[in-house]
Amino acid sequence: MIGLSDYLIVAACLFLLGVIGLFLNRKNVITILMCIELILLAVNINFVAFSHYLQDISGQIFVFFVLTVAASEVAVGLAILVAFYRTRRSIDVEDINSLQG
Amino acid sequence: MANVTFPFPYPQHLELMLPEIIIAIMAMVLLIWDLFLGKDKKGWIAYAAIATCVATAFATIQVTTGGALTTFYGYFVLDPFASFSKLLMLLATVFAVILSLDYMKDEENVGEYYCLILFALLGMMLMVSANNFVTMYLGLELMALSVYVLVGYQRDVLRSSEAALKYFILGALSSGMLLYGITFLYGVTASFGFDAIGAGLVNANNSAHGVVMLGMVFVLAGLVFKVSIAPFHMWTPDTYEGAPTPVTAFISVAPKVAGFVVFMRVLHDALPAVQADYTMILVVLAALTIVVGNVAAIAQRNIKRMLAYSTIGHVGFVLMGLIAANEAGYAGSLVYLTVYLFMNMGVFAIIVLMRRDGIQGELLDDFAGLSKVRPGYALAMGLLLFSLAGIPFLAGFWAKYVVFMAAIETGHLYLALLAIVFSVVGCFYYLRVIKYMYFDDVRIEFNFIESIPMKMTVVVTALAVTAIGLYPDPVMAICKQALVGLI
Amino acid sequence: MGETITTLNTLELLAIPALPLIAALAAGLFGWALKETLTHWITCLAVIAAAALSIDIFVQVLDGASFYGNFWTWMLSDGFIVPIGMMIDPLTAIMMITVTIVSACVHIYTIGYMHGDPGYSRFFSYISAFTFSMLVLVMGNNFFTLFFGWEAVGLFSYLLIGFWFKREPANYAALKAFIVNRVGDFGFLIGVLATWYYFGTVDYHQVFAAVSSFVLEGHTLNFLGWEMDAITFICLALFIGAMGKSGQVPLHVWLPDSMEGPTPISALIHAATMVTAGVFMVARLSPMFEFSETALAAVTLVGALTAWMCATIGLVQNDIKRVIAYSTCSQLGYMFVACGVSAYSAGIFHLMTHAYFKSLLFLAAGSVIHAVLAEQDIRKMGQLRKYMPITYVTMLIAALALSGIPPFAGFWSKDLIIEAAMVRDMGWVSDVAYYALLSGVVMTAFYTFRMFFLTFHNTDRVPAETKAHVHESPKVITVPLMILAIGAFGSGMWGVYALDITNPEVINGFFGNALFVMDAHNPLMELEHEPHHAFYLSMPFWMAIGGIGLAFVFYFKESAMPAKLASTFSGVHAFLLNKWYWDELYEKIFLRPAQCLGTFFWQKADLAIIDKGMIHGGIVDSVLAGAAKLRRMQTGMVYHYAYGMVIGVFGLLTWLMLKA
Repeated sequence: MIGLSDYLIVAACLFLLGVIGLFLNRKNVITILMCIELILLAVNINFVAFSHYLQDISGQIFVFFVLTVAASEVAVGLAILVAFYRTRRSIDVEDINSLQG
Repeated sequence: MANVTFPFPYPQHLELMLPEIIIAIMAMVLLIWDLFLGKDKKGWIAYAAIATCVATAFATIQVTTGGALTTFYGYFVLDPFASFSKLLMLLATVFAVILSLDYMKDEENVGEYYCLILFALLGMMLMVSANNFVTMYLGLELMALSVYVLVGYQRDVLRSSEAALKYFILGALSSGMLLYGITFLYGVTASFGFDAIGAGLVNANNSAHGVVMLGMVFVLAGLVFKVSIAPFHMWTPDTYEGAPTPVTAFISVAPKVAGFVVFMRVLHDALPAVQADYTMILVVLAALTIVVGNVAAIAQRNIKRMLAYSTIGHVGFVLMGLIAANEAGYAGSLVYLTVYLFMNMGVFAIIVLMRRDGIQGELLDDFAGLSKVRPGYALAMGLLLFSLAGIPFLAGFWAKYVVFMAAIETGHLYLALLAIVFSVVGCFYYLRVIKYMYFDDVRIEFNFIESIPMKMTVVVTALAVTAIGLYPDPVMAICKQALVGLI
Repeated sequence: MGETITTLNTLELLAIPALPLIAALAAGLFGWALKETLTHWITCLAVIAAAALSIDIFVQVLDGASFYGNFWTWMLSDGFIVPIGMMIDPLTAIMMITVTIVSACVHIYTIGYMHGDPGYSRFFSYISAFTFSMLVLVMGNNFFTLFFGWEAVGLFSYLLIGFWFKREPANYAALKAFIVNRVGDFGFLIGVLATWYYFGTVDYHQVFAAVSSFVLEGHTLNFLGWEMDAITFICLALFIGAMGKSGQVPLHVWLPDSMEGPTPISALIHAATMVTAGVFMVARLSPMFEFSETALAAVTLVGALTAWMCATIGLVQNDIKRVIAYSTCSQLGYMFVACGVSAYSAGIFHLMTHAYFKSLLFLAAGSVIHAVLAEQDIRKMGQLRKYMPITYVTMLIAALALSGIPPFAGFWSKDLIIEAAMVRDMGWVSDVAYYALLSGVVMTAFYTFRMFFLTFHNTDRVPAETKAHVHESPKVITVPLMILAIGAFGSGMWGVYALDITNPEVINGFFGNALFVMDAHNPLMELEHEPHHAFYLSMPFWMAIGGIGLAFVFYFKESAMPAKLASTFSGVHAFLLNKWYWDELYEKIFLRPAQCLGTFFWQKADLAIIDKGMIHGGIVDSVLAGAAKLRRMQTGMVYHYAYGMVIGVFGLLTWLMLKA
């Protein structure tokens, strides 16, 4: 029988995967955007799991909000990335380095 | 929540959202109007935005009553606490728009820029009126997404888009953390409302303690990111430096107000059951923030970066009011934010006034000899910096005084002592600018923007810090009254 | 706190200090944009208007009007209340007209004196701001405004002494004035705080009302192992402040040095107004001083000693301004003796007449200095009366007034003080005071006319290259001289006959209940009721005549006598010429050890601990190193930032778990 804790563990793994991918990845900003998606999906799994467990619909409603926001977030993120690429001619994470100190 | 029936009944008392509705409609109207305006007439959008803010301020005052009222099925609360912070943010927005008038004149599609500011403002206004995590999250994301774009608005300037990219990545991570924390609080209490969560946590059984801690830490992490508390502060200097200066001014004040107001609501309404735990965490974070902000600022040569670290130092002080977690503490934090609004906006106004080819007024050296060229600006800048440094009988002194006293009275003597020591360290880098202005010789050819609204901003802010410094009572009294709804 | 009692127009009262303040701000902030003419028009008109309003107030006060009330209460947290209000009574009114009239004359005079100076607008800004501060000091109705004015006038005095900041001695003198005044101000602050502590208020009326019952309750305190009355302690502490501000021994050393400042300042601040603040304060607080015999005795002794000692120093000085400066110290001593023997009205009377004739002396001296190209040594002058008739006549009036020759102003007030000291019985203290003052009169007359004769008569010793330049000063300088000459001539008679200022009947007299004197020892009352022998009463007059005569013999024509006398009593002469070696004494006692201590702290504490340090290279270094380290941590790499956040979250989680 798959219980609440199993869902939570899967979500936690996804979350950690996203977080670790975010700072271990030194190559490509697109990967970072994917990691962020991963984190948000982990959150959604948590919400749905809790919602079902608690028999409370509001958790699932929140998931829709999160999905919507995530979509616009990616749109904004990609737009910024394009703007960055136009001046820097690179989307390598290591090249985002002109501001420091 | 259980017996929701379709179709929804029409929400009662929707007029409580009048300020938000005005901003939302006007932002969209301006976006369309922008299409029909010639390139040289885009300034109209800015003035329309200012008019919108003024109208919204009146609407806010109009709809505010002495107590807390909810609308939108209880998902939106209007109380003096929210209204006061909305007024602060409206004021900050007006200042930011004024600073943008000349600075952004040559940018493409400048009309959209002002609309984005209004959307960010809308997001923040929703945030401070949130009494549950859903509204809070939506407001927060609306603000954040608008601000990311604002930061990267100078598309062909590398550091502008780089700042936006960094802010975006870290911001997305922080909202991920916030959401992840929310899921656990929801899991324990089956609710998103702050009060309901607060009640649920009190009744939660002991086995859930670990889950509560997990939720609390992640929620705190997401919130402190927005207000630049160490070690979640590292986006701040880069973003401040890269963003167009008026945007820097805007994000150094308005989102901080919104962030702290939400922070206070979450701490006070949702997390009282774990006050001992979160106090412990916040004390450590506040100490770290105060040290990092004030020390790192010393090594800076770029004034926008320096002010970024100075902001970090100041939010550390504001956090002390939240740690005190009583009436004096929360009121002290509000006083601090109010005073900080004037101080920072004034300083940024002077930086913007000194712009030339997009770079002047950014290096500390550029201020050398300012007193000989423009003694008026130098005097205003001096007053504002003295106030930031917390020299007595300027507004900044009282701001520090109230939060320090609140911290001491609630038994955080060591934190207060540390804060005092590091505010003395902090004096160094503010006074260094004054030294440049008054004792060094002119090094660059000054080229000021001659703009009446901006000069008025300088005068108003400098007068405000002086007046509040001489007579702090009204501000303190108002901030105390504004706590109705929180306490 | 405190009922507002007013029969005066509040706006008019507020305008009096506000006008100079606004003018000072205008000249100070926008001086760079204004032309010279505009600057001095603004400031002069403001101060002249303030003078006119003060005269109007004075006339109304003569008719019995008064004002008492707070305009604004500055409430700080924790119940510390700072009221800002005014108290207008005859004492205030007479101070107000003195301050504003002298200030107006000095403002006009400055137009000519400072013409072409690069700091022209700065100077006007300072003196207007000074006038504001002085008005706050005298018009306030509580110890806080008194303290504010006290510190503010000190600040502007400091700024103005060091006005020519490129001159080494000016900077040194300013610093000296500042430091010596700090000593006094420390005492003053203690006095104010002690008042607040014991009475729980800083309001004059409330404190004065509480004094007698306070004394009856017999509060004492232990100060450095010395048991004393609380009221005595408060009065002595306050009086230390007065000593610093008013140049009384042993805190007098800064006043002669302050002559490094521009001459208009010497006239306004270091003769007529600021230095008299101490006398004003003692008179204002007479309801407190009257209750402490010890404090009164101290005031009398210090005043008498200063009056006598500074007169002796004045005998041999060669710098024209220093002669007048020592004379100022000496005359302030007279005023303090008056207060000490409870003849406050005589003290204030002398303060007023002195303000006119002493500022006239200074301004006339300034006119002379201006003419002989900034030469201040009276040995290099002589016969100047031919070139500068107006200066000559006005200075003669002032000299006669200072010497105490009737009917000039100084006679009336000084005579009264000496008589009061004669009849007041305080044991040996009043005897010492009486003889010190009496012998002081001879010396005063002598040094005044020595300076006068050497400057305007005697032989012409002006260097040839200067001579071509010597001429009478322009109108902006001579007109203020003439205005002040009227005061120096007539203010004494005006005071006695028009104001009846010396009437000892406390209730009916000019001062009404602005001053408080215990019936048990009221010297002026005694003088009124028990006529003394005419011989005693005329003593000061004959003394003054004697002094002038001696000066005439020595200095009117060139004479070998002074040099012979100096060589005969070379020891005494050197002693006096070196001002009793006060500066040398202070250098030995305070300056050297302070220097040693300073060097020690600098070498050992500052360099070793703070800069270099024993551990981790000192505080400054470690802060800078920390800053650099934090700077390096901000790598600019976004994954490092993310890493920081993640470490933060997991660090906190681990910590919480370990605790649980």
